[in-house]
Amino acid sequence: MELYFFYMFAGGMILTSLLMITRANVIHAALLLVLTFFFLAGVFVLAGAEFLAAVQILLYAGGIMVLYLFSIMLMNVEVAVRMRQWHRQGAVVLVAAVLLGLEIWAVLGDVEFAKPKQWEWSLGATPGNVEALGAVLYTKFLFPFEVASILLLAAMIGAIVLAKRRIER
Amino acid sequence: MEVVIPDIALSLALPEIGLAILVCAVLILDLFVSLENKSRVGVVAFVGVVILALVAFGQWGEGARTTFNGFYVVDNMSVFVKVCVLACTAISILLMLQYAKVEKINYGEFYAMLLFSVFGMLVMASGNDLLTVYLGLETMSISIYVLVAFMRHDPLSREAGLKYFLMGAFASGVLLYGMALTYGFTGTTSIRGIAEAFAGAGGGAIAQSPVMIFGLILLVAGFGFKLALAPFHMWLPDAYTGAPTPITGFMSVAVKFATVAALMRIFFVAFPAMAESWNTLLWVLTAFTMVWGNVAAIAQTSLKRMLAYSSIGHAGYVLMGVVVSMSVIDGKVTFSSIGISAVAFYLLAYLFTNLGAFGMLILVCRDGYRGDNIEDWKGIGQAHPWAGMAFVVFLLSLGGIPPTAGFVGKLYLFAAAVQNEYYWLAAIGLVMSAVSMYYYGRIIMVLYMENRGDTQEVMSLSSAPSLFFAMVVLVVGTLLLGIFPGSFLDAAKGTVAGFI
Repeated sequence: MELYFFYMFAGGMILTSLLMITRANVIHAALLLVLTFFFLAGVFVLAGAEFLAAVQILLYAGGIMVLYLFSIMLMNVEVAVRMRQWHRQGAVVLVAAVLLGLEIWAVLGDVEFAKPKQWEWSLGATPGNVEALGAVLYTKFLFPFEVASILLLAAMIGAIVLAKRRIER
Repeated sequence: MEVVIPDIALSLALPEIGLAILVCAVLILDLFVSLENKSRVGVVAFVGVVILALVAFGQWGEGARTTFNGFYVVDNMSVFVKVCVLACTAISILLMLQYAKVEKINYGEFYAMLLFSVFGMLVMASGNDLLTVYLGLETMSISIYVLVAFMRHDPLSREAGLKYFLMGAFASGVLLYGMALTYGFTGTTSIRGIAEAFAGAGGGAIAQSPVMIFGLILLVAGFGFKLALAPFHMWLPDAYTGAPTPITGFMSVAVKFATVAALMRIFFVAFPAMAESWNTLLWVLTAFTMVWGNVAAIAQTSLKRMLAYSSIGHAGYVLMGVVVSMSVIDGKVTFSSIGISAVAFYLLAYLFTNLGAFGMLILVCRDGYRGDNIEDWKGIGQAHPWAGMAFVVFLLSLGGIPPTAGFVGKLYLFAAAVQNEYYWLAAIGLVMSAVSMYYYGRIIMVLYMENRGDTQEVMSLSSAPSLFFAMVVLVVGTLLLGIFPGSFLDAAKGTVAGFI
C-alpha cells in the first residue's frame, strides 16, 4: 500500500516538474512547481518526516511560491510567452551532465560516511517527529537556535534598511 | 516523552546576552529619537559596548568552561578576542558619530547593524561547534554587507555592498560545504568531537580520504574568502573603498579578530590530525597574500584603496602567525604558544594602528569633501602638525618601525617563525615589510615634503570631540604597545591557556 503511494507521489513529482520546465507561461510553471512541492511533501510523510512535510507546504508552497508569483506579476508575462524558450544547447548540457555524474561517482563512489551520533537521551518508544525536533531544538541545540533567531532579525532589519525609502532631512 | 533540560550557565554567555539586549534597546530607542539627534542612539550603543567590554574582561583567567551542551566555550582566547572586538567597536562608534552626520547616514539602524555584526563576532569567538561558528559568521557577514552599502546615495557604496554580498554568500556556501563533508565523515559538528573522531579507531583512514581532504580545502578556501587571502581577495579593495570609512576601519580589524579566532579554534583543536595538509595550504596562501597585498598597494593613488590593499598584506602577516604555530616534534604535531600569542598581539597592535589610519581619513571628512586620494594630503604635515605627527605614527606602525605597536607585533611574528623553522616565510615577510615601507613612506613624503597646489581645496580637520578623543586613544595605544608592550604581551600569552 505504502509503495503504491510512493510511486504515486514520486511519479506525480516527476510529471509536474517536467511539465514545469517545459511551460512557456511562467505563471503555469510556478503553479506546477507548487504541485511538485505538494507531492514532495507526500514523499516526506511516507519517509516518516511529518515535520519536514508540513514545513515544505507552509514555507515553500505557501510562502516562497506566493512571493514568486508576486514578482512574476511585476513583469510582462505576455511578452515573455512569445520569447524563445530554448537555448538549443542540449548536446553541451548532456555531455556536461554525464561528465559531472561520472566525476561524482568517481569521488564519492566508495566513500563511507559516518553515522550521525545518537542523542544521548531517549525520546520514548515512537516519538513524533515534531516533538522530537522540538525536544532537541530547545534543549541540546538551544544556543544555535537562539543565535539563528538573532541572525534572522539582523537579516530582516538589514533588508528593510536597504530597501526602505529614507526620510530626507 | 521526557525532555531533559540541560544545565545551562547563562552567566558565561553574559557578553552575548547583554549585546542582544543592547541591540533591541537601540532599535526601540531609535523610534523615540528625532532625526537630528540620532547621535544619541550612537552614544547609548557606545556606553553599552564599553560596559559589555568590562563584563567580558571580568571573565579573563577563569579557565576553559563550556555550557549550552558544549556549543559555547569561554576561555582566555575567546575573552581576549571579545574584549578586543568590543574595544574596536567602541572606538569605531566614536569615529562614526561625526562621520554619519557628514555623510547623511545618521540613522539608528546604522548603530544597530553594527551591534548585530558584533554579536556574530562574539559568537564566533566562543563557538565550540561548527554550527555555532557558522551562525556567528553569517550574522557578522550579513550585517556587514548592509553596513557597507549603507551610503545608498553613493554608487560606490552600493557597488561595494553588492560585490561583497555576492562574494561573501558564495564563500559562506563553500565554507558550509566543507563543514558538511566534515560532519559526513566524523558524524559530529562539535569541534572537540571531530578531534576525537580523528583520534579514535578508523580516524587515520578518514584523514587519508580524498573527499575529507577536499572538505578541508573547502574550509580553507571559505576562510580564505572571509579573510581576503590572495587569491580570494578580489572583493576586498572595492568593498573597503566603497564602504563608509568607519565601517572600513571596523571590518578590517574586527572581522579579522573573529575570523582568525574561529579559524584557529577549528584548525588547531578539531584538525590536528590533518595539520600537515592545512598547514601547507595556509603556507601558500600566506606567502601569496603578503606578496600580493603589499606589491599591489604600491600602485594605488587613492589612500583608502591603498590602505585596503595594505590590509590584505596584514591579513597575510596574521595568518603567518597561525601557520608558524604548528611544528612537528618527533613526528607529533604540536602548536607552540609563541605563535598563537604572536597572532593575538599582532591583531591587538593592528587594532590601534589600522583604526587610526582610517581615522585620519575620517578626520578630514566634511560636507562634500573626503580626502580619499593621496595627493589631497600634500603639505598637511606643515599645516596641521599634530595631525601630521599622528598619521606618521600610524604609518610607521603599519610598516613595522619602532617605537610603535606594529614593530613589536612583527618582531614577535618573525621570532615565532624563526623559532619553529619557517625561514622562508620569515624571509618573505621581512622583504614585504621593506616593500610596504616604500608606500607608507611615500605618504609621509607627501605629508611633509610636497607643497600644496594653489588650486587644491583647503583641508580642514573636524573638531568633533568624539573624534578627537578616539584619535588620542588610538595614538596613545599605538605608542604604548610599542614602548611598554609588557603587560599586553602577557595578555597575548595568556590566550594560550586552555586553548589547545
